Amino acid sequence: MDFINTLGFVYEGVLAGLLIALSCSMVGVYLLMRRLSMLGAGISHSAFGGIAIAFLLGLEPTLFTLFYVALISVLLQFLMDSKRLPSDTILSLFFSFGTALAVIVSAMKENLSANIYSYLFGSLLAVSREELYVSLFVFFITALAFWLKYDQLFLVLFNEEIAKLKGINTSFINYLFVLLAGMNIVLSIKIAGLLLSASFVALPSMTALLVAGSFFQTFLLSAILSLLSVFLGVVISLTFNIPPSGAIVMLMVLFFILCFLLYAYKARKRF
Amino acid sequence: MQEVIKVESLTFRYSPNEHLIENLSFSVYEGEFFCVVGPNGAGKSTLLKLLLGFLRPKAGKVFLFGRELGHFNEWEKLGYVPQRFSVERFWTGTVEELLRKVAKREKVGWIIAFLHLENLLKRQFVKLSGGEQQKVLLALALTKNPSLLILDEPMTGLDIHAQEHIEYVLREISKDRTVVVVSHDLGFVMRNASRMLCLGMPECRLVYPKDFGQIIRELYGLH
Repeated sequence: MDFINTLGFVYEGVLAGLLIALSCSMVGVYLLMRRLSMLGAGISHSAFGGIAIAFLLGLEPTLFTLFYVALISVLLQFLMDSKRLPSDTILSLFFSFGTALAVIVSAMKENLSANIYSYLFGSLLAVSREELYVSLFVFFITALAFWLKYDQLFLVLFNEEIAKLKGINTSFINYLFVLLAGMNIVLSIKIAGLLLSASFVALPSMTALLVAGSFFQTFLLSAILSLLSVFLGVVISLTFNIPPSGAIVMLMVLFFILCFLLYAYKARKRF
Repeated sequence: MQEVIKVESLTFRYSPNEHLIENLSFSVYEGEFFCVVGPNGAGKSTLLKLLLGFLRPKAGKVFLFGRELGHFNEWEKLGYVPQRFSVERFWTGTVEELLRKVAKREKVGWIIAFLHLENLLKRQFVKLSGGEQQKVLLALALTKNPSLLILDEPMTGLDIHAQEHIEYVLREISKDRTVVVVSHDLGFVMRNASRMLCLGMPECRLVYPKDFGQIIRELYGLH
């Protein structure tokens, strides 16, 4: 009964967590298939710089960081498109820049560092109603983009040259989904914390890639694993009084290990 | 005969002092089995990327079906088979998903039957053998029944049986369409090409079958 009462207090956070988990699971598959699993870490640390600036200027941190990261994501995709540097080098650059910016800004004003560093670990239980609405909006546009562009995305991820010859604007697809990935990563920071947000995006999709039998199944499985991890993670967190972000990501790791063992067993049986 | 591809004074280089493709002109006519050969780094795949508009030339023009590449929009007339290894290995789609996304099932029925893909439909593309993957890439290129088919190294990494099968399929397909193949496989080129373009010689040369042997020996330093 206590548990249900507590759940009533934190339902906004739980709902936001489930929505963001669902859209992160979709963009996670996209990022992994493009070999951009580092993008989660690169963008979350860039967002750290955005959060710091928002606090310095007295702006609403989630909304400001969403716009800040939207710009960063477009710049990232532009640099990756130019092919002058490998993607992971570009991502490391943004990772370092964002972290350094946050460290410098946090020292510029008194009492600023406590607010900024609270984003390192995040808390699903501290999500406000406004943040829930933002999560709902981001989830809606992510789901809409996947629904409308699913077939095009499918071919772009298979081979960009073939996709181009089939009349698909591959550049638009890549900009769109990197932008959506960036926005979802910002929201996952609130829930999983900056240090764990990359796992929030990458782990369920990595697990799904191991065992899925088709492209559609990969998205479906990734979504199911994300939702299960958030829901069970919150239950464990409230029952044992441990931080929800840690519980959620630990469950994601556990699911990965279980699926990996299943995958290894199946592969062994085949030979 | 209609000019399917026309290349006029094409020049391309990746760096200022390089002379990869310099003032190259040639035409490919309807119904030809046209091969592009040359040693590694001679610019074969680069030429192909220029023909398809993936790279922009420093100078010169490319025409497809009589229209300049920049204004060409009838891409359904063109089928393209990339190098097999350029497909993402984390991609989890099945053959059926792939064909269904590109064309309706009823339209690809003849391709599935012709290439014997029935047993592969439910399997994931990345888990197929090299020969099977090449057949699927061919099927994908043929979905709109194109009149021009361009292939980049279709034999690379295939065992002898798969090579024989793909060669048979290409020969059949070429009966009613133009085929352009970039290939390292000189045996395949000599058996099938109606003309070939040799890159990597002091001057790029267009060669007819009677001179294939001599030019290939010259090109690769064989005796």
